[in-house]
Amino acid sequence: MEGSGSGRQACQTKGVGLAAGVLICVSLATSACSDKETVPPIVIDEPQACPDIPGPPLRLLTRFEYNNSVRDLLGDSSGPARDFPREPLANGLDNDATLNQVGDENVLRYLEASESLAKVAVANTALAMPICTAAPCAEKFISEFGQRLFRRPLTTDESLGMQPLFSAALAKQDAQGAMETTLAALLQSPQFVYRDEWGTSAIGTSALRLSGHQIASKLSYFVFGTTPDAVLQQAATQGELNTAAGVAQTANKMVNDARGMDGLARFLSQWLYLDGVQNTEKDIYTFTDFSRELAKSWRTSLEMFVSNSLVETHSLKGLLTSPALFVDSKMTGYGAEVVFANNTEFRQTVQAPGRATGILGQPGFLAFKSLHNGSSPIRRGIFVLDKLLCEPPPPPPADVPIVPPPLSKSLTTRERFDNHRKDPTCASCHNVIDPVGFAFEHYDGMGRWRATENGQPINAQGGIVTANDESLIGMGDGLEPMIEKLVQSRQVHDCVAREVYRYAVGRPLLHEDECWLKEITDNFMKSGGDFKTLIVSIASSPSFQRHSFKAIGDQP
Amino acid sequence: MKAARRIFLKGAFGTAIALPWLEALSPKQARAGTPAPNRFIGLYHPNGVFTPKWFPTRGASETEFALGPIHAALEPWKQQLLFTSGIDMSVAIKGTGEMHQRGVGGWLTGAKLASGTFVGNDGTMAGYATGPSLDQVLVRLIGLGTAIPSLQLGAHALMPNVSGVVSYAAANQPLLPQNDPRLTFKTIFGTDPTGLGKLASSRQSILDAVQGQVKLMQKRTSALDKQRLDRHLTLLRELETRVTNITAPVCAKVESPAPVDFASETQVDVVAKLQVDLLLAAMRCDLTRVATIMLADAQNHLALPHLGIATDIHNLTHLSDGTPDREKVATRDTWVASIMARLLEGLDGIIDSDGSTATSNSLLLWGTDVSRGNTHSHDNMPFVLAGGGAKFRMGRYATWQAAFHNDMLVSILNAFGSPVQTFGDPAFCRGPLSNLV
Repeated sequence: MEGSGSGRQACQTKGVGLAAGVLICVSLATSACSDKETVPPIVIDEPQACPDIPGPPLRLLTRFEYNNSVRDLLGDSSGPARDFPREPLANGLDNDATLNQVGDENVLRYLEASESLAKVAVANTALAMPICTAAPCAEKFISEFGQRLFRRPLTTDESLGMQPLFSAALAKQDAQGAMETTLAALLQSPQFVYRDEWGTSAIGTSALRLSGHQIASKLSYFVFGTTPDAVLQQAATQGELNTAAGVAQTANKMVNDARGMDGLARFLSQWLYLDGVQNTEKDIYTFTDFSRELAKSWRTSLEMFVSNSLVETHSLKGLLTSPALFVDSKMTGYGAEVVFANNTEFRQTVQAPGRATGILGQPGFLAFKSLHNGSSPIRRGIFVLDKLLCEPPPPPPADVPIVPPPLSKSLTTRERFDNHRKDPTCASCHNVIDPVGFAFEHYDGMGRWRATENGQPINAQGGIVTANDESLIGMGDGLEPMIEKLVQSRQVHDCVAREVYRYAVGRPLLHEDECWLKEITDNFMKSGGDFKTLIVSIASSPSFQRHSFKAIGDQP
Repeated sequence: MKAARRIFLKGAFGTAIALPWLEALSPKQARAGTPAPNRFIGLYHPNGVFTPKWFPTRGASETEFALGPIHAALEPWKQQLLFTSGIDMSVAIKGTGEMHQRGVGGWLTGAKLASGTFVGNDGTMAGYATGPSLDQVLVRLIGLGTAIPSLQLGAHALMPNVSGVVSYAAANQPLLPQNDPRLTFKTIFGTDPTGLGKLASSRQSILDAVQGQVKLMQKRTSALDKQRLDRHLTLLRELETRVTNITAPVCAKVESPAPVDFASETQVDVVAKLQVDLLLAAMRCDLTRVATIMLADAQNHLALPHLGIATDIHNLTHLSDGTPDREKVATRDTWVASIMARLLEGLDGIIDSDGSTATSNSLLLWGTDVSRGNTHSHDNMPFVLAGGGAKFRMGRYATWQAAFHNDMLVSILNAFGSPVQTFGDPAFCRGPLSNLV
């Protein structure tokens, strides 16, 4: 707290003092609480290693974040946001604030969801919501519970703006109904549905620092995937998040919490596009035992693998090399000899000898990165180049028809794809893509291991042909040699780090980010690909905690 | 059934009064004196058509033509149809993205795609379209004042990227379609009529308070945030009007659809029909006048079991014309024509305030992202227009020579009162399309 004497901060301290550790600004309508009177503190700027990032737009809660938030705030696990409009994906991620915005369906769904959430919450005795019969009680509820919902203390105006609603509602309905009305309005308020990460205190004349409460919120959605809990809000109130050291310390605690990998698991489910895995379609004439249920099992299996490798290893190396495999009774033919008690049970086992370990050897991943009637060296190759190397191949020329080579009863997939590389217009890119994909050729379109195809032995010679990091380049037999290179590569660590960073900040990367990313990647690399280190490095980076006065999208 | 219908009129203090439904209080009577509304429906299906059998057989003049088997279901509306040939979707021929992406993005926007990160089937990357879509511009011309400005509906149009959207509020502001008929129903008829008055008054005060909170946030530094909060406020105001003005008669007896597994390819036909029926009910009540319907994503890999198509229809569109399996694309096209017929039949059943049918007051535009899947070309697009809403001369099979499809969009805008001379990318505009009016 020392050295930042803003009106708002002073008010918070007072609140803590009065309420004996309860995290609210209890002083009612004192001018010190109002934003209007708040003079942003001028903090002496320290020289920064890198240029400040432009300020971020308001971040609309994603459906995932909304559901988690109401689960934690109201104990409501009904997941009402499943009915909200879907988020457009930005290279796989659903939380790009430059794309996510309120449309006419949003406001309707917020209204419906908040009405039913409020009804259930007010009736839920476990929540112990006050049922106010008079204004002072409602004022206390608005400021106390409002702080949980808005992820920061309410300003006087915000608090005053809500109070007449309660009084008017109480005149027309019973106390329970008036509480429902008040809660429903709080849940639809922009302070709840948007995450506001526009800093509040000026640093010198060039930048703004996020308030402790804003940092608590940003950290919480990044690391835990949900709204800040009481502990984090308390840390913010007590000023623990006002310094870079304090933020690093808090982030360290968070990654070692039981929820510490939840945000990263969410990131990885988008990075892998698990929703797509679940909706995989197969040609049932080629793959006669394919079923929708199997596709669902693939997804669950992948999810369990990701979660297991995060908990057990919390490292990129673990993700790329863990031998774990999760199967249920529907997932036959994946080399796991397991007996199941029932149809829904999943068992943890390990990949059979000779099968690829890590995410690239997972049945669901391989089946998803396939064609509906065969394997796909192209989809698999593009995944490695795009998601692990961040070197997606350039688009094919505009006038080239995209026709996968026809199925054959005698040729191998490699031979069929060799043909299309004879065409010089295709060859320029496919000479880069296909060799990566050929390393996966022991796995068919269902992700099952095969020694032969159409009676011919599989040739899985493959690898990376060109990359910025030359240590990645080289051919080998199957996936293992390529995975070994991936695990060691700085380029791969940099690629994953920048995607996790993009997830944390919820916007496209800007050129200003490059400089900050260097240190983050250094730390990630030095730690041997430790995800806890990566998360703490991102949270500790000044680019996570401050920004310039300029806003993203403003004309220069 | 008629006895169960109720009409709600707004009584004193906003209380709703339920009255028995009477013929005398049918919508046209309740709104007598108001001009018949214009409507627009865009119907999209992916991956082009089976060109060898798509186009009608020409007769001696434009008005003498014979529909082929694909369009047999549309025979009753032949005089309300305008088949086109020679219109190119030139804006989609080159630019960012692959052919399906460029086509689906350019169809209603006439605009190119932004660069972006949506990976096409072939690895090409693109962003969203760089301009508003025709339907959204038409909202401001023909849809103002309706409860629901526009609907974006889908049947297995599930991709949350450029391949799964045709409607855009503005550049880079995609309006992804709703694929769940249960939610479409809630959007249109969501308010439970019992206790409506009480609910409306509670909602009004809640939405007032929420608008107050938005205003407190409006002092923003960022222009983007200001713009978004302004829009948020406008949307809340519109929602408030919609949930508190209970004057719209309950003019269509529609049950909430049973839950349907809308992500399953086995349900595509069921979902498409439900969505069409719900849209027609909304139009019957004049709750909305503008809609788009997507029958699957541009980059789908769907089988269509209800048509006996057990393999990926998208891949079938890639086969050369002589391949027997490619004929299955014609089967798919025939199904889409049946959906078009369902729309027209439903519009025929809606009688507007001047006694005319909704078909005569509506314009339907049926289109796709490429002309044919096996070349992925954008020339000679198989566009079909229907209905009398734009006052185009219908009942024809008309031919143009390498006309720009943007000009067709301009003509549609002109027909509904906009004076624009270009729409979308002006490089593909020469002025309104000839031979329409």
